[in-house]
Amino acid sequence: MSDERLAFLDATALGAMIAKRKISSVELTKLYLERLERYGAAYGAVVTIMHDRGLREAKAADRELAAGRSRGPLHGVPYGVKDLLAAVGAPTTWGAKPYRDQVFDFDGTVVRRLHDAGAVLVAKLAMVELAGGFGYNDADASFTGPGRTPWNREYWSGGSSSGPGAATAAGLVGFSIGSETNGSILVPSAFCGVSGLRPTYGRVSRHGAMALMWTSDKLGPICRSARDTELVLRTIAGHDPADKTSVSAPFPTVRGRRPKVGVIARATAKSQPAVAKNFEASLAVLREFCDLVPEVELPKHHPYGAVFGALINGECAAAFRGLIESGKSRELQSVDDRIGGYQLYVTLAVDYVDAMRRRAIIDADVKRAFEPYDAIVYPTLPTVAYPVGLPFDKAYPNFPGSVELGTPGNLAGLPALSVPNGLGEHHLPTGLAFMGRAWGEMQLTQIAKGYQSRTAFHKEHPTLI
Amino acid sequence: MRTRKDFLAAAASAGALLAARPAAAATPAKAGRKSGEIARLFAQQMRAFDPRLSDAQVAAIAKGIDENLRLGKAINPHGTALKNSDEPATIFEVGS
Repeated sequence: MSDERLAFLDATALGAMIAKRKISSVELTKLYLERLERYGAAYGAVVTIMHDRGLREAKAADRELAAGRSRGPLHGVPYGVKDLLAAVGAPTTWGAKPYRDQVFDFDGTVVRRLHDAGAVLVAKLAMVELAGGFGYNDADASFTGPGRTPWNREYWSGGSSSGPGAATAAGLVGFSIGSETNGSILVPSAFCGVSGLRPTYGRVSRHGAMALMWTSDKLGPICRSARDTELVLRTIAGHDPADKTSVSAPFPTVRGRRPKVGVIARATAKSQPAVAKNFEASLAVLREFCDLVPEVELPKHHPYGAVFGALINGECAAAFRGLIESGKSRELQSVDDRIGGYQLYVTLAVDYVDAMRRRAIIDADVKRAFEPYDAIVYPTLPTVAYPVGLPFDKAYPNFPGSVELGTPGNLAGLPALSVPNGLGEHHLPTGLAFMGRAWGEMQLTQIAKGYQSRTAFHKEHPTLI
Repeated sequence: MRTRKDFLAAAASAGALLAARPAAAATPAKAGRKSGEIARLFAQQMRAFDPRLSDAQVAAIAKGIDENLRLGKAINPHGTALKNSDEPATIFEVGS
């Protein structure tokens, strides 16, 4: 098998090859380190390439296999983490110049769990500075430069997990870990044509991760297949005493019946034509093995955006109070971020508390509305990736989309999964999203695996330049 | 105004201005003008943190703060008032 083909296999396949001794972890790690060196900067995907740690862990993985010990299906598989997660052996920059020399002397819980599973950490991956908390409005919002989708370097990779999206799509890592507060896993997954899973709030420990919004931050996998997202999530999930929001919850699945999937009403009314076309084609595939229920409505009367806005304003300003008060916001890359912290700093406490009160009502309503369904399906985004160099709100003003499930879903802490479902304008990927019940991630991966067993979009990859 | 203490004193003045707003008498236009004044005052205080903020940046900060100060109305749209018994999604819990 050629190196190029090998680099784009999913983590499940790579782990199986290592287990069968068809390739060693060291060989695979060297391949990805070389690709990270060659392509990482071109796609704004990498902060630190971890040669020493990667090769050390790979050699240990090979030694263990030679001694007859396997730690499981990720044994020896190289991966990268968004640079908001602490890891020994590299700075943890949070994508922002004021933190570029920040070093932690411990591994975040997710990194430790992946290490315990035998995975090999090869890179700290680029991200939008401070995970976008200060209100950036264009792709140039990281000290490593704009993230670029490997499908076309003139277009954004999405954010704030820009590096995990681009590096996974470009075959620079076996899989990656991103984070989402409100869109930061699903957006880059859609713009880069990969499979990304936002877990239920509390499913995965955030210990060692940068805090942006304590009541909404989640860590989750970005991979080249839905089956990989399931494998990685099972590896990193579970209670951690260091994160008191984390829980060890079961993983229910759909058994003995066809999955019931609600199609969100007016899903494509204001989407780009190719997004709509790909979505309709995806529904035809889903009908083969799911019972689709059309015209499912989101509870409409709630001020989702305002509630989320008050919450993230207050929490983000508190999380970065030191930065704001130091005046070092001036060093941030995005011109919007240089002043955004000062805007957040003045958020009324009464508004924050009222938003939390309103959130409790939203949480109950959203869960009640979607409870009958194993998943709600919708286009991940109404457009393909935005061009680098244009403000986001000027990119595709004619296609604002007609449904926005990201904010309601994140307010309610619900899981969601985005998989590629074709190419659209400018030969860029489009995404198909499934949102599920709390703790229903495996129901989502079950449906997505069914979709991917009938399609090949997840196996397509860009030609790198 | 170089310290957090100075900033808080100035902020308290702005808070007093906010508290003094006669809600019953305020028309939407007047309320908007008032919150704009408060936002400008807050924005100017941000030079305590970064003295090199330009006038244009301070104006942009004021615009953002003004939007923040209007969040209360957006969170509590007419006809959907929160009840006294509506508790926040996150409440303090005594540990075991």
